[in-house]
Amino acid sequence: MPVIDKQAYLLLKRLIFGVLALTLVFFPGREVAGQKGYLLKMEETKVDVRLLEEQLNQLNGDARATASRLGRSALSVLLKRTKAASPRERALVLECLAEVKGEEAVQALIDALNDPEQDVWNTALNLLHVTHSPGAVGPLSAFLAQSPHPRIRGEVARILGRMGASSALPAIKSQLGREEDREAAFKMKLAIAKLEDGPERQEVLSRLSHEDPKIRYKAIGELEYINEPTLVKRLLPLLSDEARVVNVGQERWPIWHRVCDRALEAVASLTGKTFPFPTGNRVYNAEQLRMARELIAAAGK
Amino acid sequence: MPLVFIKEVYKRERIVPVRFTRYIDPVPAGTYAPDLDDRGYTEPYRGPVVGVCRGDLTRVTLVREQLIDNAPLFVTSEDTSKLTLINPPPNPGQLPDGYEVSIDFRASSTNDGDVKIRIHAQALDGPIVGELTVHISQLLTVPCAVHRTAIYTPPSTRTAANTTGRTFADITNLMNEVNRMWRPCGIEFHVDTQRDNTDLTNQVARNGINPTDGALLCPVYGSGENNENFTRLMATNPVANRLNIYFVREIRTASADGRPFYVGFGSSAARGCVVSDSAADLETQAHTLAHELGHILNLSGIGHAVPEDAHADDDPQWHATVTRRRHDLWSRRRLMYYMVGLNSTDRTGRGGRYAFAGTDVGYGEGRSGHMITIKNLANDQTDNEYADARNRQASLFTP
Repeated sequence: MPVIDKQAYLLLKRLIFGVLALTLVFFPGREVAGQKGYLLKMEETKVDVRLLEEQLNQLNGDARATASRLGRSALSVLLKRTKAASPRERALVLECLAEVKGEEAVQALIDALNDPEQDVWNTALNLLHVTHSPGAVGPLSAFLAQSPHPRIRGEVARILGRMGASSALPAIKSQLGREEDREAAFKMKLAIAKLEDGPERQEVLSRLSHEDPKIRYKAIGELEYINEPTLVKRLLPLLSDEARVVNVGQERWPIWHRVCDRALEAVASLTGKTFPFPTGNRVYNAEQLRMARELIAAAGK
Repeated sequence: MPLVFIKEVYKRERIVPVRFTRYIDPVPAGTYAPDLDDRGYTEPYRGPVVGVCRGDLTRVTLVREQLIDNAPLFVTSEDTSKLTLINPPPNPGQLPDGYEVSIDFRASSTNDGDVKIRIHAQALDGPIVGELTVHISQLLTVPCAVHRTAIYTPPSTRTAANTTGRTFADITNLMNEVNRMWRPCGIEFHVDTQRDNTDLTNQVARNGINPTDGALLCPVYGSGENNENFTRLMATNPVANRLNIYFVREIRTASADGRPFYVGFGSSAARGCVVSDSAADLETQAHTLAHELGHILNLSGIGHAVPEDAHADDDPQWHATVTRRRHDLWSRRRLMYYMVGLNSTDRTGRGGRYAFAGTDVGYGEGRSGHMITIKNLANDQTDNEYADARNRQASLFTP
């Protein structure tokens, strides 16, 4: 350890204080400016919170953007309003919470599945597909057996599947065994197909070669939901399937979406790659379909 | 003294002493007067059925079809916990004299379902001579964003001349009227987002015709060109998780004379529609928009090879041949009849293409109706609209 004498120590001490004093003299604004920025931000937050409240009072959909801007600062306002008298306000509050995200938001969305109004619980279902957290698996699983609404039971299964919640498999299978609603049961099977490679997944894969083009077309969407990149090669034969299934245009100007068009869009989604041309509800030419085949080949390597 | 006569009946005759119809006169404020689905007598509805929303004050007309105008008639609710009679008041529940009389009621059931209004002869507990099924719905909402749209090609800029002439106040009035038409289905289009900065600036030529400012340019029907400019419009400033309704100044067909004229069209896939400015009355404008929204919610769509082509007059295979399509009274009463007006001389009436010439189907001369069907008749694959629309509402924004 180096040693200095007392005089040198005092000199060094004076030097340090001098430098500090000069710094304060010549750069006084730094800390003040920081405070000003902080205060400005606080003021902006206050303005945004007031705006959010106003927008919620007016049932203005722009509240979603305000909540997104505010982030967690919006929570205090939003959580207070989850029990608002108006169902429309409750639904809008849920949309705002989904913008904020986080555990509190997810919990509020789950709680809303008990709302008496269909619009409110249906909004919560739609949002939970995108906004969820691992902590939601348990509370959501309870709805599989307990909800009186088939749509909630079915969609909750799909949400759990989308979350990759393997721990929910026993609950989904158990409910499937006693589910009376056909559509809800179908969604539960789809969730199982997503969560494990078993007979339910094989059913989806077999539907890809069903004789009815509408079923083949729909099965591509199911494969997208399963979202297993190794299955992308199953789309290869469908890229040559020109059966016209859905008019994605308008009543007088149909755009016939073929099985191959839907398959190309699924290739992009399953591989996570983007094509050098716009995709989505379009019809693709031979060259574009060839590029999709190449993408599948590259994914297999 | 009633007139007695003897009549021979071969096999059987259905006697209809009274029947129910839509209340046609101007409706008192705060009251709804829905069209009744009175087509056919098949299960589960052996008689007319009408859709109402929980809490709404609703008026229907009772017609003493085969009774004298002062025949004593009484009205009851099958379940007063679900449906309350307002006029005539339940006790004594006697209907006034007259060939056509009004019945007002309010549905209060908290669950979707049916309840019957019964007409009794002579006394409250007298024989039932008529029955109306009331299908009660909880109101479902479709959140919407409306756009006051400008259409131009730079270096032009947004001006009043290339922007819709409708103000947001006009749009609110229009949507109120649309929602009145949709009320029996229990669906409300709720505008919670307004955009006044939507500019379509990248239109392309169609059928060799260049775009002009202010007009959405569409290809000639059947020319094989797709409606690219509509696709571009749907991608302009869209609001997520909302049904986007674009109001534009004009829709123009890319033909030499600009015909045929279109006032609007929608796309279920794009969850959006476009409506042009119009000099027509509010009823006609609202009918147009209500119809386009019907396409987005799949009205008349299930059972078709092409759901978005669906209209009440279509046969399931969408035959373009006019003679194979339906233009009867029932079809013309429906919201999804393919024409907004019935007075086009090339189509309806003497010398027109359709055998049925009726141009007043209960909505005033030349107007098609607003009926959204509740029944699901076996021979009509465009039917079951009530259930189809509500199912589509639920899944409209589901990933």
